Amino acid sequence: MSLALVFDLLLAIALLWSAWRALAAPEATRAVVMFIVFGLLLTLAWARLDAPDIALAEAAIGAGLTGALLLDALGAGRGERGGGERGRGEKDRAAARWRRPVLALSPLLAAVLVVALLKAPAPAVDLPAAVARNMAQSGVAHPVTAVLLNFRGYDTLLEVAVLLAALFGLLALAPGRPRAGAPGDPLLGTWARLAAAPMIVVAGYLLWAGAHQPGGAFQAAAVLAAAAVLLHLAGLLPACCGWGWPAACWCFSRWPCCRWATPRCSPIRPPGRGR
Amino acid sequence: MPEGLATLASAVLLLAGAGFYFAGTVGLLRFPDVYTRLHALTKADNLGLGCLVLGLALQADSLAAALKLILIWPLAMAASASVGYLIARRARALGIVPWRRTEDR
Amino acid sequence: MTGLEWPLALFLLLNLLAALARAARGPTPADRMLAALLFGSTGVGILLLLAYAGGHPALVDVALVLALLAAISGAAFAGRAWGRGRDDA
Repeated sequence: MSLALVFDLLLAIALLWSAWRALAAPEATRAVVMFIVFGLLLTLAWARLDAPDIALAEAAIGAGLTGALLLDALGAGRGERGGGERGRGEKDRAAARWRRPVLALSPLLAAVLVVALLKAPAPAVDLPAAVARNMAQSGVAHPVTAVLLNFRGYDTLLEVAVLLAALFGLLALAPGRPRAGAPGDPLLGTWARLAAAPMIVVAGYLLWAGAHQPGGAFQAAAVLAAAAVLLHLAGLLPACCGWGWPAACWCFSRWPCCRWATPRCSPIRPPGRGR
Repeated sequence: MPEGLATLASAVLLLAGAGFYFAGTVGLLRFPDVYTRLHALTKADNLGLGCLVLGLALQADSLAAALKLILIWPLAMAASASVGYLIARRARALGIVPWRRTEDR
Repeated sequence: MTGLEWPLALFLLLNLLAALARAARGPTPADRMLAALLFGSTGVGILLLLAYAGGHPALVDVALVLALLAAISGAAFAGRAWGRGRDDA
């Protein structure tokens, strides 16, 4: 269909252009906004490539979560240092030396990748057929979920382990105790409260729907995380040292062998709104 | 013939939705300052998405599918209304002055 | 099934590309963020049209998720990233 072809061509051009603008933006806020735009266009690209699972993940993470996290980081950095654009002089000069060789080499690399993809031999094992043959043993009716949660279940488990390790590293390196977000605008609080409930329901729906249609745990968790980000932006989420963390600390500290793991926990106190 | 009527109503609603999206985009490009652009943007969100959703819900296969479609509309409206207010308030706090016709542009 | 889904999806994509001009040009960061928010809403519309134009019906779920989440970056922008950060909230 010619309309679809025109659609795809325009989408491809817009993707390349927004990626270039995101990389070549002169200041950080512009780069982040173009990155959000790129994430949205990428969602459409995944939808056109007939991959709704990845489109779900990209919509949740690329277009929503990552944009909010990057903007929050921008604001925090700017608040501390009063503008993050100092000290760019020497970095720019060093980068300029590399710009020309990289610009010359990357089309070459792209051409090599395209040729390799087009001339790739047929795989030795027909994985989609193997998955389809064994679907009855996987317990679900959707092949993507069957691969992620059953046939490659250890892969998913180790991804969770990597996330946990990253979280521990973050907690170990974080300066001081985590603070609750400053209480935001009252309307933001109202919207966060109103939107958090549907988000949790949608997360549960995506998790349940992953058994027989695109969805699954990853996308559901991304929506849950976005709900938490929204609540944190509104100042409604108590910091880690609110109710949950000291309760866990208290439980751990009752066991002498675990006392080493909770050196900084204070007695339980009620969650505060801001500091 | 309800089927033909539903298709006709759906087509009208889809065209209206696309028209509101177009109005929102034109407003975003042509309006003079942040506040007016916000106004155009929220029209695209509310009316554009609403007409689109209603038009597609008329073609939905089942009631559940239609309700899921219609669920998108109030969520998007609440989000766009809140974000519009937040951006406008922040713009006011930063001292951005609304555009006045008497200025020479 | 009206025959309008594909032409309207293409039309909305053209709207998106026009909004890219505001994203690139907009004098203040807010104008760029507004373009990104318009991208979110138009993206929801395009996904819904694609779902009913012969694409996968799960694209409605993608549109639902996008409608829920795309405005959070707008809230983060208004609350944290615009101006001098958290100092003058």
